[in-house]
Amino acid sequence: MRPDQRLGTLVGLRRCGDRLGWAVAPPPVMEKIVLGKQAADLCTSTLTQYFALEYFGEGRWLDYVASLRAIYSSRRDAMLDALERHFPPQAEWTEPQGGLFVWATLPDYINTSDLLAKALRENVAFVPGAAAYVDGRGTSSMRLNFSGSTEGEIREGIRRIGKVVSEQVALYETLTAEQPVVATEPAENADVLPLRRRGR
Amino acid sequence: MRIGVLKGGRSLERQVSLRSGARVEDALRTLGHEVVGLDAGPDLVRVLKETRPDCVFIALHGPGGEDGTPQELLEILDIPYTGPGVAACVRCMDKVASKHELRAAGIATPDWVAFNATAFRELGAADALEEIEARLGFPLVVKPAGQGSALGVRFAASRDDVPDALLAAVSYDDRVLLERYVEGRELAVSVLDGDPLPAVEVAPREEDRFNYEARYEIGRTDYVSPAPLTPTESQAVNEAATKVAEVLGLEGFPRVDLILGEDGLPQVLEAEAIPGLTDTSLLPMAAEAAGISFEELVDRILTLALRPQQALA
Repeated sequence: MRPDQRLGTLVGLRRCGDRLGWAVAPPPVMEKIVLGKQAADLCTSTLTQYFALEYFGEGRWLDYVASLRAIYSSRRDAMLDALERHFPPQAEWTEPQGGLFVWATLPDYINTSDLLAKALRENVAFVPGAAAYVDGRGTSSMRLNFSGSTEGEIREGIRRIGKVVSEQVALYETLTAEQPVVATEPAENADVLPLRRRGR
Repeated sequence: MRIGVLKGGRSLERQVSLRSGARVEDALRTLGHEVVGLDAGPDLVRVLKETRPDCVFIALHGPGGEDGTPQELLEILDIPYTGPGVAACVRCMDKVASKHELRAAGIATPDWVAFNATAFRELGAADALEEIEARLGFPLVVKPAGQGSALGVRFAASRDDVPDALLAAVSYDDRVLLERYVEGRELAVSVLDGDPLPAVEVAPREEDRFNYEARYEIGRTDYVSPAPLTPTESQAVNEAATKVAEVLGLEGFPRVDLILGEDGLPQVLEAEAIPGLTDTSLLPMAAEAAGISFEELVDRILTLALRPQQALA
C-alpha cells in the first residue's frame, strides 16, 4: 500500500462488535472506496459512529491502548521465542511492530493449506497463507495469531506446528536427498520488519 | 417419525457435511418428519440418549463420519441409521484395503503402491521410488489412504513432482498410495439400494486436467448428467459400480468413482460410503437424472435404513 493510503480498524481496540474502521486515501481512490462500500452496506451506522466519537472524546482510551500493548508485545515475544526454538532453520518469519500476527514462510515445497490438515491432527491451527491473496501466492506461508491465547498456549502451539513442519522438511530431504532452497516473499507492509532468517 | 440428522463433526469435510445435513433436514421436514439436528461432538451420545430418534440420517463425510465411528455408537445405542454398516465403512475408508478387496474380487482398479510415512522415514522407502515409478509410469496420482474426498490428491507429471505430492498426501494421512494414472473419461456412478443411477461425467477443463483442486472450484469443471454413454459402456460401468457396492458391502447409497478407459473398460478408483448430498453433489445430480427428486431420494434412503434386515454389515 502507498504511504498516502491507509486502512485502520477499531476492531482490535474495542471488541464489542463496532465493526468500524477508517481509510485514508487520495480523493479518486476514496471515491471508488465510498462507491464500493455503499454498494456493500449502504452506509456505516450513525449510532456506532457516535459511540466511537464519545469513546475517543475521553482520554482514557490511551491508557487502555498502553495496557493492550504490554500484553500483546509480551505474547509476540513469546511467539518469536517459540519460533526460534521449534521451527526448522528453513523457516522465516516477521517480527511485527504492531498488530496481532506473525507471518511465517516455509520452504516452497510445503503447501500450508495441506499442512493445516496435519497440524489439526495435533490439535493446533493457523491460517494458511493462500487465504491472504487472491492470485495464488502465499501457499508456503502461514498467519500465526498471538492475541487470543496465553503465553503458555502460544509456546505449546508453536511447538506443535514446529513439529509437523520439521517432519515435512525431514521427509522432503529424505525424498530428494538434497538441501532445499528457502522461499522468500517481500514484506510489503510498512508495519513489519523484513523477513529474516533464523539463527542470525 | 423423529429423525436425527448427524452432520458437521471435526473432519476436514465439516463444511460439506453441514451443507449435506441442512439439505437433508429440509427434505425430511417436507416429508413430515420431526427433525433433530445433531452436530457430531463430545455430547453426541448424551443428546442421542435424551432425544431417542427413531432413526439417524448420517450426513457426515470423511474420517470420524464415514469410517464406522458413529455407526458403531449407533449400533451400541440400538438406533437405526442410514448408509452402510460398520465393517463396510471401515473397508471403504481405507483406500488401500478397498483396492485389495476389489482386485481380489476381479474388479479392475489401477495399479498402485502404498506406504506409510514411516517407511520413508525409517526404512529408506525413498530409495525404492525409482522402481515404483518404473512400475506405475507417469503421470501418477498420489493420494492419502484415509480421506473420503479429493483432499491431498495430487498428480505427479514427472519424477520432480513426486516429493511435493507425497508431502501433500502425508499431511492428511500417514498412509499414502501412488496410483497409475489411467487415461479416460471420469465417471461417478451412484448405487441406490443395489441399483445404479445414471452415471455423471466429470469433465475438467483441459488446462485443469491434472489439477485436482480445480475440480472443486465453480466453473472449472463441467458435470454431465446423465453422461452420454453407449449402451455397452453404460452396462460396463453399471456392472462395475454395483459389483463394487456388493463386494465392499456398501448398503444404502454409495457412489463409485471410476475411469472409463479408451479400451472401453472401466477401472474403479474408489467408493464413497456416504457421498455428498449438497445441492452441487453428484449423487443428487444422478438421482435427478433418474427422475428421483431430492425428497424422494431422502425418503428412499430412510426406508432402507428402517428395513428390518439391516444388521451389522
